[in-house]
Amino acid sequence: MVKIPDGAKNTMDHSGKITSWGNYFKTTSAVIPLYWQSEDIALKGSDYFLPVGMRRSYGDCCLNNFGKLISTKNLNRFISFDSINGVLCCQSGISFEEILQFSVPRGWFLPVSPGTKFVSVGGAIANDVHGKNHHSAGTFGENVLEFELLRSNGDKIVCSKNDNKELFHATIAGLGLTGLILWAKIQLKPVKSAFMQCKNIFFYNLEEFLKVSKEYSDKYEYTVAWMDCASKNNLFGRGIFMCANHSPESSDKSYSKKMKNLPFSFPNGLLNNFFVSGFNRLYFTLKEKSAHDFVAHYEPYFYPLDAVGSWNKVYGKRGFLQFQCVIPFHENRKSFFEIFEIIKKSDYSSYLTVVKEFSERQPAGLMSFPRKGITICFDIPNKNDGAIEFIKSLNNYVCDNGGALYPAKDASMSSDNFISSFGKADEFSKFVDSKFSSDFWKRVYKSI
Amino acid sequence: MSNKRHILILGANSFIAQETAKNFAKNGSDFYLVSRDSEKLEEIKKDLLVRGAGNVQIESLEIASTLNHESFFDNLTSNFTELDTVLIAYGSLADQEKAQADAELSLQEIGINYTSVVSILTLLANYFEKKSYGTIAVISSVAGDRGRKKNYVYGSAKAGLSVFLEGLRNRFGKSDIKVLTIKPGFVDTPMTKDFKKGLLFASAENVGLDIFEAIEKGRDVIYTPFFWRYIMLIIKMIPECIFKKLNI
Repeated sequence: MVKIPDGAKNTMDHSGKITSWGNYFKTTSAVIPLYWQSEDIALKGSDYFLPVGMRRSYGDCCLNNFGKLISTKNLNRFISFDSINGVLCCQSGISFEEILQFSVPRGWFLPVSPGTKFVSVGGAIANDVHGKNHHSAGTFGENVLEFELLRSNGDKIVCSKNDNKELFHATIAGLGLTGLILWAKIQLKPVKSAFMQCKNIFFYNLEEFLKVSKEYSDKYEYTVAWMDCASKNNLFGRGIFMCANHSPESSDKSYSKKMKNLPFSFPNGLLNNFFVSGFNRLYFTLKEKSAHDFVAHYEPYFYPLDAVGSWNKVYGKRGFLQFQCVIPFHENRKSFFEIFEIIKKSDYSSYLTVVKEFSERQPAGLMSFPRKGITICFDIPNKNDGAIEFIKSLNNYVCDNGGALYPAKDASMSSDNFISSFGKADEFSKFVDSKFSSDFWKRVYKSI
Repeated sequence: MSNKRHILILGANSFIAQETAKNFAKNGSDFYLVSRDSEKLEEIKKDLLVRGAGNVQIESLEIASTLNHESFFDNLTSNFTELDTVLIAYGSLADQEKAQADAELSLQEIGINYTSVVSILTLLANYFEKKSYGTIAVISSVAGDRGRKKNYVYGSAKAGLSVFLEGLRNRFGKSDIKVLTIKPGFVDTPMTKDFKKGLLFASAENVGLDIFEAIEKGRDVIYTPFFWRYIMLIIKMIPECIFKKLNI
């Protein structure tokens, strides 16, 4: 057992300012902790409610200024586990971390996981999260078999692909607006060990990235590329294409799971372009010199950032802005190259630019973000230097070119961007519970 | 891996108790869970079974508001014959201002946090003495280490409890019966849901892990998180003539 520093889980203040992972919005709302599935939860009164889990969304889709947040983080019990078929039934507040601790020694793994294990099952459904295996396994929502939804009128509705299927599809990627998920049944996938066989492939420009991605996506279940977009010269666009498969056998490599917490916010000055670009160069060179084929425990492979408890504090008290889009993969790949040209010409540098190819799949939810194309994700500190305007200009470029923006990361998309990204928003709005809302929803839709 | 235990948990709905139990479930331990609310006990039972618990029995009973524990105890010992470990986790933290204005409420607090525990511990201690082995783990509190105006009704009950446990430990000092006094600081649980959460607040998960490890190691007294030992050491060292004027 490993102790997780108490601050690392983004524990709630019961008063005072409430923020999300990006520390960009500062809000005021009452937090109502939910402790039991059998509890009588009164979703009444004049306030709007929003269920939240670990609050790892970056923007405002997990915030509800002047409303009430219903925290499910203590609703974290298992209900049943079918060890033959890998079907896990659990309460909605349980975290991926806890599921993995339980399931990996029993030979089962999460079907899909984002870049942090500190997300709840409810949050993973509400954002229909994706991971490095989108091209081979789709989104988390595709692996959800069933869940129970509590509506503000007191109805408890069990939803699946067969029963109440419209509500089922609206709730997956429904941003917590269709009701409160009490429990869910998910399909896990079998693995033979806790280790990953990894391969790093180095590419030196955008064309090479596309080539490598095409070549290796069939051979590897997990792929993702880290790209150096901080060097504004001919080094721009080089990166490391990281692929992995679950290892067929266990490794005797020891893995120590010590976790550190950042005790305080860093001064913003450390995040200048010079520093970030230097970091990117160093990272690339070090990786180039180390082994290209290696075995790694699943934790450092899937969750490298989780090793530092509150890594978001690196960005200082003003927080940071995260951008994630998917750009459709047109024949001429024009928009793919153009958006990187915009990033290259800008004054902004990011430690971590992540690029991945999404495959074509039937979306699990009405409002699912992943779709065929290339997804690009990075974060930049929130400074008074037009960072937010820069992200907004990228938002407009993406939407003008048929792409989409990811609500879980977003702090800046406009109503037009939202409608353009999610063609079924009107259809979705019919499933939104009349007592539920979020700052994101008010910003992009309800105000229309 | 630690040995399978047969654990009685009184106040099993407590979040600290739940988190402690999760750790014991992993090695197939059997449980006898007692608490007021059977629906909640069902939720815990399912969770422990998934995590690997052997057999989980539940009983809904107002254990804290009675001093008549004989029939409960007879029932328990005939249904749970291998009982070797007990964790007493129930308690009540009433508003101090209400308690000091109302003697009845104060006595009720003492009843839940002290006298009822003494009643049940007397039966359990004699039971383990006959078996000549066993572990008695009881959640007391740092609040029992020194009386403060903010919580002295609760604190005095926990102080009594801590001394009772100390005596019990002395009685069994030369035997295989272990007595563990658990002194948690601030823990983020339903008991403290209306408190402002500061830096000193620990998660029930981490406290549960500390208790699990202390029981396994057969320790005597633990503060959890550990730093409370030093905080309380300093607080206990402050001379009374100064302490009485402090606002802590």
